[in-house]
Amino acid sequence: MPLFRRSIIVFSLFAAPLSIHGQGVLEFIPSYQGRELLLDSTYHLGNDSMRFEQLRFYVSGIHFTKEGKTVYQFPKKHYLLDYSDQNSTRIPFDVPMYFDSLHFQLGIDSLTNVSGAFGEDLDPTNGMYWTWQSGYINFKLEGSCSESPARNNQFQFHIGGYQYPYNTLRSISLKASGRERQQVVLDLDRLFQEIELSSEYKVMSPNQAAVRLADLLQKSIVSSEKK
Amino acid sequence: MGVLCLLAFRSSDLILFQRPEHFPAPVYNFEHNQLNQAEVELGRYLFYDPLLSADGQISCASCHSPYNAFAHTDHDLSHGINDEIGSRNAPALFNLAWQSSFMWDGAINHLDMQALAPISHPKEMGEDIRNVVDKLNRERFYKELFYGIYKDSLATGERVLKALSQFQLTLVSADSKYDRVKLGMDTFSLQEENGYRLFLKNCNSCHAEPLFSNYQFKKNGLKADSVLKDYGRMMITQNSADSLVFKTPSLRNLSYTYPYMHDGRFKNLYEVLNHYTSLSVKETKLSEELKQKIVLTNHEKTDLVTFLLTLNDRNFVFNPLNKYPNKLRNKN
Repeated sequence: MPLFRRSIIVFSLFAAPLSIHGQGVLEFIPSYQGRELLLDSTYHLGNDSMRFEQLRFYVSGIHFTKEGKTVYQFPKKHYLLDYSDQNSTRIPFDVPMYFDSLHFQLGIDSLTNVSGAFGEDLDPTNGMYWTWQSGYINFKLEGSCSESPARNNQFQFHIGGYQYPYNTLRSISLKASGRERQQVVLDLDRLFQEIELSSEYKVMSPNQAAVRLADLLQKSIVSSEKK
Repeated sequence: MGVLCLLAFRSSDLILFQRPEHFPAPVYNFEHNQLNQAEVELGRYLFYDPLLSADGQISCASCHSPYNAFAHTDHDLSHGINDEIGSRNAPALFNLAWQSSFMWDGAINHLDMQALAPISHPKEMGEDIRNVVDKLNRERFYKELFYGIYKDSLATGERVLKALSQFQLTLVSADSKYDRVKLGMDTFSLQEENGYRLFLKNCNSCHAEPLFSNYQFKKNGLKADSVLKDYGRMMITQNSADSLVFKTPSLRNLSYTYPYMHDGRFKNLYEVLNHYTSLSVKETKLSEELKQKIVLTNHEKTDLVTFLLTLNDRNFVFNPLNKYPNKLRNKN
């Protein structure tokens, strides 16, 4: 429950005017130790400590469906969510009359990856584009953990790759009730259950490890709604 | 009215980029980045401006000089900031609109994104595109240029990269003796004609005319340098079949672009030809095209080189529109 306390406050602030204008908010919330993640805050787990310093990822092609038919497409094709800028993690939308599911892709599609320079969320100045080899970084998570043998106990996951066999774009479909507040949770507890940080602390190119992490991320993204 | 339309038509984008009659359709998608004079000029300033590097010493042109067909003659490996030396020979830049991948290993998939690699590489410009954009946004010279083009003076990564592409797209080399012969404006000498025949028989399957490369990745039998340990495309695809596979370069402008090969190991064209004629086709793993032994007498090698020299495009190399823009010298 504590995970959504802050969201509920936000909800009550926005609910009235939003419903009048038919505006909704889709929020992507990372959770760790069962609560909303705080960047630059140290978590303790027994003798181990864990700290997240950067979390950014692309969400593309967001749309709502009702019985399999698209009823609303979000205005921008790609959104860069950056947890050092809370505004970027709440995406407004016009609430459609009815919808039952939310769909999106985690990452950037291959066509966009091979089509040259783009601006705004896709601008390479955002630090989400590799320079030594073409391709967007779909998902970036950096921090430190006492288990990591790297310098300063760092861990760095830059997950990307758009070409077979290392395609890391993942499609996600979640149950969504037809309301103006939609929450998607990135369950980092679930993700880190599957990562052995003492040996797997650095993934920074399109490879088998990136593919495995993309699969794990796909499973770690859940709806806040009870099934 | 008719005359005005004609003038407008003739003075605009067509002059900036024109597909030579005997060339195939370009692969670059101009719809996503339509050329215009002001942006080409901006790209030219950026190309020659050492502001792009961390210490303000190295520009794109440091390793891609216009007088060397935008290669780095006499240097086997490229040089960067703090006298760092890279691991590959700087490739010549021309006819880039016909290329769908860049770098010797094809690491870069689009001309727009190419500049990010040298800008960021610690042994080249050692900079970050974010800093480049910040520096540009502090210079009045560039703010005015950006405002003139975009009606907004802000430099962005997208604008910088696309402007660099625009300038580089105008670097079309298609005015060599070979081109004039193809267009019926000149004739080969007997020796050149014989060299052309030998070229078509032995080289054209990879260095396909009229671009003189199919821009594909091939294994040409070069052994890895023991210091550089460069395995080429394998480092990108992580596929062992791509070990020692490199992109086929164009043979245009060879006189201006020596030394040759991805690490500049051959100083002249005879060394290159001797490599191909001495390949042990049974012992070395090679691309399909090289599995047939290439046999050339010394006379034939001379004829072949004579033909290859008809691919030099002096008008391209000395085109004043491509060289250092003098306004850049006085920008501050």
